[in-house]
Amino acid sequence: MTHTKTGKTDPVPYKKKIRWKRMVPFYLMMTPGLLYFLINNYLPMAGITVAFRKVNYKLGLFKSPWCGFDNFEFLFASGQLGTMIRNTILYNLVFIILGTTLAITVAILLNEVRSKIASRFYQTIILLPYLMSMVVVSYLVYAFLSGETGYINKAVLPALGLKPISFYQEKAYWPFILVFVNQWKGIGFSMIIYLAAIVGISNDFYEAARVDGASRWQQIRCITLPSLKPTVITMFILSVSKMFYSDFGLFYQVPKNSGILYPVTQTIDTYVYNALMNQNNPGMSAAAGFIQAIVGCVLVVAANALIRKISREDAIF
Amino acid sequence: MKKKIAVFAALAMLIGSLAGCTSAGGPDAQESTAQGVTTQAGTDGEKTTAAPEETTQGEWTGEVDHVIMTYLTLGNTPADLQAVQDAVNEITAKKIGVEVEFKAISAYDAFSQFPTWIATGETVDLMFPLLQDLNTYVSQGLIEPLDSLIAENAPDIQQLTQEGFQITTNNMIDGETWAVSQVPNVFGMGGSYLIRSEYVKEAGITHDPKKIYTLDELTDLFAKMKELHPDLYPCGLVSANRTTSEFNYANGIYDPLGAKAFTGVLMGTDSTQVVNLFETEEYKEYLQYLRKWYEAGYIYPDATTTDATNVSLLNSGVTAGYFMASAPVQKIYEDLDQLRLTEIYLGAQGAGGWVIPITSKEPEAAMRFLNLMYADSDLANLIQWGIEGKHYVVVDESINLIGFPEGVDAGTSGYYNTLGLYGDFRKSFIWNEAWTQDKNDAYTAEAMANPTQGVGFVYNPESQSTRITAIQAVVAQYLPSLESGSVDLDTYYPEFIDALKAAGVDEVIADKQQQFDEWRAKQ
Repeated sequence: MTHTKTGKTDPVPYKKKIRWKRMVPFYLMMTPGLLYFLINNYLPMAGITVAFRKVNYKLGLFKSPWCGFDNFEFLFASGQLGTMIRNTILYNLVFIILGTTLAITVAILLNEVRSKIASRFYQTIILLPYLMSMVVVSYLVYAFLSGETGYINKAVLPALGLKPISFYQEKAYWPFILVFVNQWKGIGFSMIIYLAAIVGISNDFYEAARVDGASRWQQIRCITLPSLKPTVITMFILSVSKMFYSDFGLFYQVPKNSGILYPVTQTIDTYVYNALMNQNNPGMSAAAGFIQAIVGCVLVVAANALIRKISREDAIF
Repeated sequence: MKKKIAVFAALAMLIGSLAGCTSAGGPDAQESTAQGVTTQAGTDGEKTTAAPEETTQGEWTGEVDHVIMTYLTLGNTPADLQAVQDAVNEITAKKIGVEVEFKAISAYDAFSQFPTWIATGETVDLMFPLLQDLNTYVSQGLIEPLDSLIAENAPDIQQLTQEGFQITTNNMIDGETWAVSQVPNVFGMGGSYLIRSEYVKEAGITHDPKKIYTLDELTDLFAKMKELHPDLYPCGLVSANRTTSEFNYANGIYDPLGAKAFTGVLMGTDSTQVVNLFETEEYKEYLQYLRKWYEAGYIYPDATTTDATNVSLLNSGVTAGYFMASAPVQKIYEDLDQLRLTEIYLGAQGAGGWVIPITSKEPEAAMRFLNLMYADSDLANLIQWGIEGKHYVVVDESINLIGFPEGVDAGTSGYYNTLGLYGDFRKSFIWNEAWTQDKNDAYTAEAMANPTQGVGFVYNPESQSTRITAIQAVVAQYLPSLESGSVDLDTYYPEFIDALKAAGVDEVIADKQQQFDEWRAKQ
């Protein structure tokens, strides 16, 4: 579903006869990639049938009896499917919009830093959280928020004369905490991609603008941002395809899997994990994965259709 | 070092909870006393003494079969596992022609690894899916039925079954035996508050081991302790990721009929009505106490999020005690008092034990080995506690009491395995004088006199698995917060009950009631 790797083909159809011989090296170059996709992404798709079977290992995965949609029932039985889908999609929307804006802003600001050393330093600092495991991050957050020893409850709130807050029992704070943690952690990586795109913009544009007397702000608005459009669109489509998936670490580890927070922290992934952890039912897991894949696929096609409407040449297919 | 002790204690608890929870119409107390005091003469690593009553064929002459057996740990594989394995093989190769290979894995990883191993065809001959659902293993076709294997290869397991131990009969599903449980050294269940003796004394209370304390008395005790030690949390309670209610440790008797409590329980010893535990008055009352304690600062504020265990919080002095089953083995330190909170009773026994996966290459040899673990307590103790002189020394032979050799402790010992999964516990060595068999027998006798109506019945939740998955998710969502008192009851308790109903708890309870009624009609 995600072969964005192949890149764009020229929209103008070639009239010339393509000679096979000339193409052979290109196909050869493509072979490793194709094999990779075949083995890792297509062969396992046979496992989709597991979602419709009552798995019996004695008979083997592909001889187990069919059971129709029984495996999907548990997703609906909880009555929480709505909350889960809402959380998954809304958080992802916020992450995409806020993430893009912040990352571009930071990338532009960094690009304006003239000192090479300072620029490197900031880049590294901003990227650092991205390299951290979510488990480590969850303990950093815990060090701030815990009730008994947390920095906020022990130092900040008493200093302000406020009562301690049991963060892990209060739903209201978590949408903000999660968005903050996600941005703090993820911004370094997308920032680098945008920074690379900005660095790639030819200096001639800026020189010409300066000659015409354009201010810094005008240069950013009229040159940098429009040049970033293809990158933004590619990144957007990539994230949209993941819209139905959630960062398991963020939603499971960071809120410490506190049940009372589920209305604002539970996503499809964490629900499936919690529900199946003790049940060990491959059929139900496959069913949840199946739904995620289908919806993800629909979302990619829809996002691409939308982009084709807005700006045809930027669409991926 | 501290950590090691905590782990050990947690292990001991695990064994205890197994012993405490798995309970059924076993033999009567006298009989078990008579067998319980049988002690072993074997004194060194050589183990030349023959097994007591039952002997298999004197010397094995046939081929030696290779058996791969899971070895559950709590995360760390013992350094001397190979040495113990060699010592085991010295016994078993001669006696039953089996050479065993331990396959070490953490009990937590086992939840996902065991089915994966079998699904990928990895050879395993003996497996212990600890605290996992036997029904799933059966319905997914992961394990072999054992009836004919037991009939041909396991005279001692049959013998124990005939004596009344339900080590095979409680693992029957669809008329076949699928697992063999350990022989517990204690039967029955009851609740208690396990607390450092010094605090009890300080509060001016003389601990009466037979008295059943009320939650109000406990509240007074907590208040006194908080007054004397403002930084102490008298009520240690850890509920992160918990899906099992601790209600039965604190405020009443229930029998979950061999399945998870949220699938419906019998309340008290006279009831034959399967009800939703969480909807009962007693349960609500329990939650109200917890909420009160939380607000008064008796409960650790990070109870729902901490990774620490009850035992580690107790060790570090953060808390003074915790709710636990009242079985003798739960008294893990000398200076603890078990304040009884409920009567001791006997409930239906859950299923679980050693199984033979379908990937086994030597099922018969595996069964011979399994059988010998029950027959030969030297073998069971060897797997359980290691090599004498190296990993333990006998302190008092008459009560099977052992201790660490000079200069060795739980942290430095190369073999310290406290997961009790091997053979007949009645003959297992003990580390603490509070765990002697006569104490266990006294406990068993009390439990036997107070059975619930569900003894002998095991619920088969197979047909309700979808609903149970959903219910379990609801329980995991609300239980830790509710049972640590950390959220408002008026808002969250009704929400919890509604969510349970939406997940189909009433249908599951009806199914359980129906199976129970059918079983009762046959009695």
